[in-house]
Amino acid sequence: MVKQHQIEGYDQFSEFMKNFANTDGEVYVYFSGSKLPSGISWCPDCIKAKPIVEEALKLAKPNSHFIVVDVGSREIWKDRNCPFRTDPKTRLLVIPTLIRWGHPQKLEGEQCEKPELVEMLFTDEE
Amino acid sequence: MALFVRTLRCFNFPNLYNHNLNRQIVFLQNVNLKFYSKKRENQYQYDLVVLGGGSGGLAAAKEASALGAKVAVLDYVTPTPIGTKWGLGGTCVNVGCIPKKLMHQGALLGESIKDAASYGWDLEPENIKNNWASLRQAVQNHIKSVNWVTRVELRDKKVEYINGLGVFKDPNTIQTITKQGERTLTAKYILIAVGGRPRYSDIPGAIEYGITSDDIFSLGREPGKTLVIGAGYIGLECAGFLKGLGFDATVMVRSVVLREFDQQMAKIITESMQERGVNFLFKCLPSSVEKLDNGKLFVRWTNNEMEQFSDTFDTVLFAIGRRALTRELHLENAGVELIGEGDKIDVVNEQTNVPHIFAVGDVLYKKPELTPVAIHAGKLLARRLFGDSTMLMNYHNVATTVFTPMEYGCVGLSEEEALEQYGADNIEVYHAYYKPTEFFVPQRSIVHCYLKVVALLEEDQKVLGLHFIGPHAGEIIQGFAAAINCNLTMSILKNTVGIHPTVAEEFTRINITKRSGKDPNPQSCCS
Repeated sequence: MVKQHQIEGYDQFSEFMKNFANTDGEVYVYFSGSKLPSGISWCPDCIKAKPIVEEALKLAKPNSHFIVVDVGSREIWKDRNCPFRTDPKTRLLVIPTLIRWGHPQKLEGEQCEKPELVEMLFTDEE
Repeated sequence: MALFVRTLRCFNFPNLYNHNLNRQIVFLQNVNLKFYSKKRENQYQYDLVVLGGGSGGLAAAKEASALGAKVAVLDYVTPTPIGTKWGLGGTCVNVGCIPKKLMHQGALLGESIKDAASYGWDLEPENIKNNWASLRQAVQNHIKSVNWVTRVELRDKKVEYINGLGVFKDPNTIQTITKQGERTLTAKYILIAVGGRPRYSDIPGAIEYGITSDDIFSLGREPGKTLVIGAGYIGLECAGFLKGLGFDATVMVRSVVLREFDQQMAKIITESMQERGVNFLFKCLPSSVEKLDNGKLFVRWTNNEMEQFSDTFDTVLFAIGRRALTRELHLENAGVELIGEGDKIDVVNEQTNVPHIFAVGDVLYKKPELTPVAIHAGKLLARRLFGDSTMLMNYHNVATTVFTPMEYGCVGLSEEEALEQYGADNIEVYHAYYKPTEFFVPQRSIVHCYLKVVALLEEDQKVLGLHFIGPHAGEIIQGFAAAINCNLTMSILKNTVGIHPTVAEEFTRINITKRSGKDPNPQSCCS
């Protein structure tokens, strides 16, 4: 069973990754816009990608970790100095962004809405 | 029906009627008897199967798929003798242009840091050192991300990628073995784009202890004192960046340096490398490589007077040429013929002697072995096969650059080629040494900054070739390649206003002919 983690904002993300000691399995990090009080994300592209990513996640190896990072409100994300954009470890350009942490596998924006690409990211063995 | 129409259309290119009469007849017979009916029966699994996922194959595959064709690409890398292997994307991305350019840039930065002190940066250039492991890791990380992006692109464009070595079973059938098992693919068209791999000298110890450009960019240890055997552009580039990164580098030259290039420019490049401390062993052939108990490599060689020499090195890199990977394809099962010693394929407009089998890239006989050439030929071919296009690949006036520490960019004819084709009486060669402004402050050597223009003597003096040695040669020569394709003349060039101060503007200032015998050295700093 893939272990899921929910992170809110840059500080928590930064702290979590610092302490996160993963010895086995792949780590997937999914950056998306935080939820509005209504319970859905403010980011329309993230809403579109969500079911695709969740479905494809079933193909990931059971010892994988899936870390969902809500980057913050629209205002926080749109700030050019948003730490998710400036941190060399993330350097985000768009949300949603899905990364196999520490590996080259990465999908951005509309790519996260394409099941064949998301499935490849979770199953890729090269 | 749409496919059927397209099939007919693609046999109507005017180009197919121009060149080889025999081939044309074979082709037309096939249209009527073979392909036409087969397509209607829809008996093939794929419209196009591409052998080789390098620059040319991928470009053709993506273009074909975008035009509605069903396409599969097979790519497989046989590990090198020391076990180096890599991912999808071919030579350029994995073991060629890309890592080469990054390591070249790494080496240039070392020079820049030394220059920086002269420009007021407070640092100690004498203490700087390159960390090979960090550079290698950075380069490899970039390659891995390109491999991934390539796979994403194929998947997104509905091109099937098969990680297996494809071989011909018959003219329309490819067999391969993948991790998942054996597969047989049938295709209407097959594109051979398998490229080439470096050759090793036929001497004891070459394969056991030597490496090639396939290994250097991912080498798990510092290269150390390196002997590069071969003085083509790959050998010179490797020796150049290794020296720039701080390693002792020696180039062993069998006959001439940069054989394929203008020999005056090759001589200047050689001198420029010697000035930077790269050693050259001229007219020498290696005879053996042995491994000593301390792990170092003991190399023996002889010169053209049969004198024997030896020395020890940490690394011996063979850059004596490349072999097309055609032998592995069982081409006899398809009837595709090879030509010459390099196992190459001769084509007319990318078409082999078997009408439905095509080839692009480094497997082609007497065509430039350059990534953008393969990409362009692959794209145009796909458009002719699956689109409305009749556009043919133009293999002439392709610009290229040798990324030696002092870069050499050129387009068009060398001086030798021009003299041979037109005769000395009909050729005018303009030339100049120049001084890059930015070289003055750090007192960098300017003695090898040189350029020349080879033109016709009469009338407007049509430009036949441009040659430039200096910083950013690749960036400079690219635009002039477009100009040459627009029939650049000396009068246009001389009437083009330069950008000051740049090195590219030297092309617009050039006015001394070799024929005049005047000194091509600049008179003062700002003349």
